[in-house]
Amino acid sequence: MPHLARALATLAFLALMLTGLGFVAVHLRGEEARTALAAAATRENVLDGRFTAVLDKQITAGLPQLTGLEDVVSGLAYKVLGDAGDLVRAGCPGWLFYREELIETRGARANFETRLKIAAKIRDAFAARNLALVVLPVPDKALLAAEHLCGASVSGEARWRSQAWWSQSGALGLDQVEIAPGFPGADGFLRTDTHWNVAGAKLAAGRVAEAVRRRIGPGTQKITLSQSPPKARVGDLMRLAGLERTYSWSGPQPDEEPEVSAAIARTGGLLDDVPGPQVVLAGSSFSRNSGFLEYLQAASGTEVAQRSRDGSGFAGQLLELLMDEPQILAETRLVVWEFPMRALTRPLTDVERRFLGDAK
Amino acid sequence: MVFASDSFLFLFLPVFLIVYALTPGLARNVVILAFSWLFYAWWRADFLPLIVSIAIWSWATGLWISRAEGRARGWALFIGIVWPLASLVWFKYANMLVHSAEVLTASVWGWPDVLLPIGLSFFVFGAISYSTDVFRGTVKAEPSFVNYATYQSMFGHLVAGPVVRYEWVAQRLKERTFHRAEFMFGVERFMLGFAQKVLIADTLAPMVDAGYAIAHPTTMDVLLAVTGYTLQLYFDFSGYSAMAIGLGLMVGLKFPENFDNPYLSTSLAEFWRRWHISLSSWLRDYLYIPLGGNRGSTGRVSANLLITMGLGGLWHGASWTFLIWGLWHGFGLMVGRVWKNLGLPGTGAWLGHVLTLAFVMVGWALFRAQSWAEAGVIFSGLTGSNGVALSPSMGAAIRPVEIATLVLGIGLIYLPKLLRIDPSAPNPGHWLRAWAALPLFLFAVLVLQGRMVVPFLYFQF
Repeated sequence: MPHLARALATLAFLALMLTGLGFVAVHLRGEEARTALAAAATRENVLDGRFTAVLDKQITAGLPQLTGLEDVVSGLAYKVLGDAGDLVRAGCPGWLFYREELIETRGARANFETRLKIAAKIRDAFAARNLALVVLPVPDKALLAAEHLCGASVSGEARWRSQAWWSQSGALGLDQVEIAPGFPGADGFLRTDTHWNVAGAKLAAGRVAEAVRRRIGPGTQKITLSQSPPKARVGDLMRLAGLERTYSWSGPQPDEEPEVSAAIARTGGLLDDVPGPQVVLAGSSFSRNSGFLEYLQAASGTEVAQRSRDGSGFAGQLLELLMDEPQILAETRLVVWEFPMRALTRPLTDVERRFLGDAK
Repeated sequence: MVFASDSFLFLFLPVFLIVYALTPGLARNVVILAFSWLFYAWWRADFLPLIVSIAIWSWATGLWISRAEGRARGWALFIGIVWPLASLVWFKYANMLVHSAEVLTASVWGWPDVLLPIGLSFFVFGAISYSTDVFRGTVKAEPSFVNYATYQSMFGHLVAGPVVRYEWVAQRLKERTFHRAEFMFGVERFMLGFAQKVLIADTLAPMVDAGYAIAHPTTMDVLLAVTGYTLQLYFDFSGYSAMAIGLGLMVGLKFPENFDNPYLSTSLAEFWRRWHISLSSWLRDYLYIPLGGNRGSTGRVSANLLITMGLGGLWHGASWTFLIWGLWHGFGLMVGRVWKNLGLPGTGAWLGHVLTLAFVMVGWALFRAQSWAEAGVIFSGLTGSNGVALSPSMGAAIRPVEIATLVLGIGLIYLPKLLRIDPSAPNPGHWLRAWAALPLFLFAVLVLQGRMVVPFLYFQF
């Protein structure tokens, strides 16, 4: 009997490999793979392994994604064990939290101290350019919606970094907007997403708009907001947990959210030469979700240029603007710098090291 | 390239097997060699000349050693091992020595860090054992460069061991035929090794990382992290070794077992006979015995143990924590030996097992630490200076599936004892492994699709 099992296993093993090879071969002959590989095929890239790194990605891309089976495993793990994967923690029924907000980070305090230095250097860079800066630190969902954790633990670091930022960043003299006081708590966040919902985004945008008006005066542009009827919105935490296709039986159910859009009435000059926005929003995915930009424009009466990027972290997008695209700031009067406070203790990024002059 | 990756499973290995199967006779060694060098170059092609040059050097000096006589023979051996050893010292230890000197002199030298080529430690140990064995006359020098380079570079053991000796494969390099049963058994070993790496070791990795990231861990935090690491390291490396053995069998090369239920040992000496056997036996045969081994006074033997284990520790990585880890084991072996020599009463199997496991786990706690400071945090946590109960930080980090895997891992460690079977020894008749291999492998492939590739822990050594 073991011999039969071994023979079957060997046949299945060879069949799986050869099938995979077939998919890979077809993909590597395709236009997309050939273009990517041709672009990477330099002598330097071959020598230092970057070419094979591109090849690895193309090989993975060529294989059929067994999403159906993966989804079943994720759905079962969530339903049976309450396990939402490596990156997500399940809270009360229907609530998901980003693991990064809950755990400790190696070297958290040193990373935090360095971030204070980066903030001071950013302040100086803006002062040198005579540019106004409004800072919006976004508190963790795990802190503001803590009543929905249902026993999921939160590390001391999560509370510490928030307290430490507000106690230590005061000395930097930054114009900061604090949104926690008066924030609607869990009602300001999406259940299945790490971001705020339209209520949270609206409150935050209103507070930032006050700061903007205080710094550059009230805006005069007519900006009209509109909202679609609420519709199902599968949160990013559902995607990270692999639950976006199995929620009908495994849960959690997606949030119901409207989409927000803004119409800006622009009045051009003689030749319709409309001046560009004088306010730039350089933040993270919070700035790109739930209508934050639109609410900010409407509340400030000022058109705002969206320069935010998902995954910007503490100041990734802002630093890239300062170092790589300073021309964008030439006609700008004010920059809104939004960042998630969970990024304060993360390991430093390459762009942050470069900004500090520590890049190797 | 790692075995547990799409590139290996769905491009490299099937193409290799097809080309290998289509190639007649001993020209198949050329195929193994060419694919092995390709395998290495996949990581970085610019380091390929290094391992090729060491292979040429060892092969050529092996011939010289075999033909030389008298003092010239000793010189030939010295020259044969000096280049591989110098490469190892330069690439592996230059950074550590320079940074230590910087600390001692309180200065910064602006030293550009030297990159460690993967697998160099295993490659160099293979070269040294070959030269020494030819010198001792226990093997004949290999006249064919292709055969020798195939032995040294075979992709199955090239980057993370086991430390294969030439005498183990010499006969099969020269003549081998295809055995279907052997091939199938190789596939089974590969699949089971793959599953234990992906399903157990990689699943435990985030929990271990999180535990070691906590600034003020409690006793329970440390116990979870260290127990997790104890299992992660074993299932990772024994999984890799099983894959290497399986790949060898697929092409007719037999590598000895590298693990023999080490966590069931009842003494430290027994642990080292069962853990990373290819390395511990290498250290015994090429370092401990030449130093004098068990001969001489108690003091001399103790010194031999400390030197051997200290250097063995340093072999694992260029860090003083590895040296202390090696000395910790050397000290444990020394105490065990003195205890026995004094005729003191034995501990009994169960107490011996518990004490050995505790000793080994304390060692792993140090082994895993990336710095003295981190080791200090872990040992401070272990003593309860930050409390005993699970901290919110660790509570936030662990997942139900990780706890389940931890329990499963512990169960698998004791399963051979309970069922009186030996999961790591070649045991073609055992039905459980034969039937479990395929479903576990398929599940592991599925899990791998949703994960980033996790490098094997022994790649860093």
